[in-house]
This record gives sequence, structure tokens and C-alpha cells, in this order.
Amino acid sequence: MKIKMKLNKYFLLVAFSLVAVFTVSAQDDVDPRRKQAIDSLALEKVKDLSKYISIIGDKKTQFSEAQRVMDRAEELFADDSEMGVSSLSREEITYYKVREYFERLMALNYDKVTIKWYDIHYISDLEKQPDGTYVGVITIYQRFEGTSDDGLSYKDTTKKDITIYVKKKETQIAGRTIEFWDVLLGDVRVTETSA
Amino acid sequence: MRILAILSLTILCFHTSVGQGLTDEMKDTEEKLYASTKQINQFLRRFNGEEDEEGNRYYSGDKKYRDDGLRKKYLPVLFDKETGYISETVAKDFIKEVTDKRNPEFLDLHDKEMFAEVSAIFTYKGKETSALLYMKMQQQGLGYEWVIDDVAFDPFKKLYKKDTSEAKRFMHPMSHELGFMTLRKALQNEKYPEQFTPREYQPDYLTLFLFELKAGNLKFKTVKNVKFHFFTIDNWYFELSNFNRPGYNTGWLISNLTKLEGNQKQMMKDYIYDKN
Amino acid sequence: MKSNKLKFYTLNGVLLLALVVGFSSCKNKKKMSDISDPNTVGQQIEEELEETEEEIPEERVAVKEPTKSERLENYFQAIAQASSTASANSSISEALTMFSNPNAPVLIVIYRGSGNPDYDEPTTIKKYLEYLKDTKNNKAVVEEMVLDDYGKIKELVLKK
Repeated sequence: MKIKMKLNKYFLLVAFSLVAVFTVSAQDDVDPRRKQAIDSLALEKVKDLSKYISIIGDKKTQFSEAQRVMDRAEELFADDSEMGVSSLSREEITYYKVREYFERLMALNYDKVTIKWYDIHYISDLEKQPDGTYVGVITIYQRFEGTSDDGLSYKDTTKKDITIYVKKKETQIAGRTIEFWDVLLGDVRVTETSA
Repeated sequence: MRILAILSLTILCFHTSVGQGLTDEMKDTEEKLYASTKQINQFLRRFNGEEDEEGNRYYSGDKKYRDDGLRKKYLPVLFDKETGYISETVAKDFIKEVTDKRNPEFLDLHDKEMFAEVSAIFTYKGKETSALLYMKMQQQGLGYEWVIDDVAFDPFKKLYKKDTSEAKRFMHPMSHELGFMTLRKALQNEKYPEQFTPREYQPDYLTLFLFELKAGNLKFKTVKNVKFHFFTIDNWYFELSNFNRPGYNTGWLISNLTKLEGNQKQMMKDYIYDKN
Repeated sequence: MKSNKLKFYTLNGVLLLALVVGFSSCKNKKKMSDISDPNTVGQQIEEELEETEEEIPEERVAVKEPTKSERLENYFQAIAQASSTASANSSISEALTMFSNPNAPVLIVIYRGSGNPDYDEPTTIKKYLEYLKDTKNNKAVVEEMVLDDYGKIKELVLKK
């Protein structure tokens, strides 16, 4: 009889802990519609980056304008973000600071550069990292075409896997507290695809 | 209502503004990129039936979330079909088992039976050398982190050659009476002092690896390749690799699949971890 | 002893029931949010908007002036669709005259759930106009303007 009671107590304990777990995970879960809004916000930042890259790469962009756009593009990134670049002919990854990557793009030795983006993107889940910030990866594809006046041209398609950090922050605007989603881009892996 | 109209209009505008000016060649490539399993995340969602054909996510509660029909459609395209390492019948058995209505199996990124194998390049004492790092996911603070679980590094492996034969060198069993003066002969000028350790002694390569990094003898250079090993489904092992090649069968695909019986699971793990 | 045992069983039953009910009510909520009839959703959004408008503290002057917001949205459009950098820049200068200063804060609502709205990172009007020039992404509409004593915009709320 005693054993039975013990067992029952055990069951109670298990049932209680089950309830506790469910409420915690329910609180933790951001509802799908909000999740979608955050996903779209993150995707928008990535699309902004892709537009900035097109402007920086375009040979028609004036130097001062390119500098301003580079500043803006850099603002999208968390400090210390890097671009890890590899190509089909060079498997090994070369690492660049974000600004350095933009500057190299601007200085490319072509007379005409066209950067287009495929109408395709992939958004990963947002995972929580130890400090509570959400982290995800958005994949986009870029088409690059560079031509020199003497007719030489180079084309490639690169896959860009872009880290995104999402964190809820607070700020004071005109005396009231505003809660906002801070979306920052992080490290980017650039791989040439043979597709 | 007005807001809704504006909203749908802006969505429409946005949609037509992208993808403009794509050449036919680019459109062709785009179709292939859609087919490609672009992230490990996409592999997991396709495997589980958690997204539509265009990669839009289904949430639990959605009608099609983890839908059986959806999974049966996705699963066959998640295998590498070009290198011929996977037998079609084994793959069919596997699909049948994971989509079994009574006990369907799903994958989870946080599963402890899943780990990554990273092939990386280091310079060791000035010379370029490759190493395999085994990475696992661990819960930490408010979320998760990837940690280095173990390492396989040839220079370390060569360093330890344990002789377990009867002819191996030893310290005789009366050494204690001599205040272990036998230690001098054993350790001085001895290349393999590990022969004086217990039978069950295993060198801990990860500790050595960290020591060499701290000592400055080992420097990280770059990552060469990444693979994933899944032991998450009972009695099965599969390997996930990235295929960057022309065509539709590309991206993160199952590159190896084996049915495991008895103690084969441990044997397979030892093999992957380069432990014999 | 027997009754004791019974009590435990009923308690267990109640707990289980609570679990089941909890589950199904969660499911119902999901279903509710899944309703995609545009009319209902529209109504929901409008209701939610009305609710939040009522919540605005009185000391903040929120003026609904359709002509002003229309003028501003026209500038947004002109900047996003400008044929050249020069014409975009001149539209930016003109649009800035509607504001008390180029650093006037701009808030962008990205989602309105049941609680407080979710915002994008706050920016300034100058940065936002330049953003329109660079990205041509003119998705946001004017939702609220706070004016200063001279009738210039000192705070802008947009909705994406």
C-alpha cells in the first residue's frame, strides 16, 4: 500500500513538472504571426544589403556616394563581422572585414559591373544563443557580371549565407519607452555555386 | 479595409519589383536553386515536412505541418543520387520507416545524437596540417552553442603508439622495493613512454590540441569542409554532405546511409571519431 | 486508506484533464489566428488600430491631417522612384522642410499583436529618406505625425 502511495506521489510530481514545462515553452514561443513579421524585417535588411552592394559595385556610382552607401551598409552589421569567401577554383576560405569587402568590390578592375539578385531566398529558424539573442541565417544568391572595354568578361553566381541577430531592445523617444527589434547582420559566408 | 487594400497593393508592388531583368539563363539557374537544399535547416524542414515547395514555413497547427504526403514527396529528393553510395532499396526502407504512420520519425537540430565533423586547416609548428574537429550542440545560458567535442589530428596519433604485446617494455613487479628506481630507465630517452601506462589508458587528443593552441604551436587557418552525422533515428546512421555541382540534386543531401544492428552504432561512432 | 487512494486517482485525473484542456485551448487559439477571411482580418486590424489610438496619452498632440501625410507620402514615392541621384536629393531637401529638424525621430511599426506594437530600430527622417533613395523600398505608410508649435513634424510613425 505504501509503495502504491509513493508511486502516486511520483505520478503527481511528474504531472506537475509536465505542466510547468508546457507553460514555460508556451511563454517562450513567439507567436507565428509575430515570427513572420520578424522574419520579413530580417529579410528586408538582407535585401537592403543586396541593394547597397549593387550600388557600391556599379561603376557609375560616384565616389562620395559610394562612400556614403558603404557607411550605410556597414551600419547593418554587428561589429567585427567578416565575409568568408571561397570560389570553385579556390576552395579555401579567405576572410575579409565587411568594409574591406565593400572596398575591394568598388575597386574591381572592370569597366562595367552588373550585380543582380536571384528572386530567391531562404530564411532559417531563429535559434536562441546563450545570451538570449536570436540568431538565424538568410541565404540569397547573387549574379555578378564584370566586363572590360576590351571585351573580356567574367560571370559568376555566388551563394551568400548571412547571419542575422535579432534582439528586443528598448529606447527612449520623446519621453516614452519604445520597444523595438534590433536586427543586425553578422558573418557572411560567400560560396561560388556551379548551378 | 483601406489598410488592407494598401497592404496588399504594397505587397504586389514589392513582388513585381524583384526578379526583374533576369535573363533566361538566370531563370533556369533559379529553378535549380529552388530545388537545391540550401541550408541544413532546409534539410531538416524538408525531412520533417515543415515547409512548402517554395520554402515557406509551416507552423505546428497548420494543416500541412509534418504532413505525411508532403514528407513522402520530399524525402526521396534528399539523397545524393549522383555518386552512387546509397542503395535504392536501403533508401526506400529508410523512408518507409521514418514515415511509418504509427511511429513517424522526425529530426531535431538539438538532438544529442547528431554532430558535425569539420575538416579544418591549421599550421602546426609552422607546417600546414589538417585536423578533424567533432562539434556538438550544447545547451548554455538562455540558448544553445556549438562546442568542440573531440579532435582527430594525425601528428598526435603518430605520437602515441601503444605497444600492448607481450614483448612490450615494462617496469618489473619488484620495482617498489627499489624505490621505483626503474623509472629512470623507463622514461629517459624513451620515445613511447605510454607503454608504461595502464592497458585502458587513452590519450586525450582534445586536451593536447588545446594545449598546443595555448602554447602557440598550433594556429587556426581555415575550414575546408563540413559534414554531419545523424544517429538520431533508431537503428540507422546517415551522413549529410553538401554537394555544390550543376543540376537539381544539389545542396545538403544524405551522402551515406546504413542500417545498424547490434553494437554497430558504437563501432560506427568510433570509426567516425577515428578511434580504433 | 482506500479513500485516500481514490483521492489520488481523482487528483491525477483532474491534472490530466487540465493538461488536455490546456492543450486543446492552445489549439483553438491557433485556429483562431489562422482565420484568413480578409474581411475579418481587416476588421480585426481596424479594431486593433482604434484601440491603440484611444490609448495614446493626452499630452501628445496627434493630429490627423490627411493632406500633410499625403504630401509626405508623395515625397516618399518621388524619392524612391527618382530617375537620378540629383532629383532624389532635391526631393529629400524639399521633404525635410516639412520637419522641425533632420533628426526628427521616425518609428516604424512592423507588427501589431495584442500588446504594444513591435517596431523596427528607430531612425531619423534624414536617414529614412536616404534609405528610400538607396533601396527604393517604399513600403511604409504614414500612420501618425506629431507636430510642433509651428506645424512642422517633430515625430513620425510609419507602418510597414
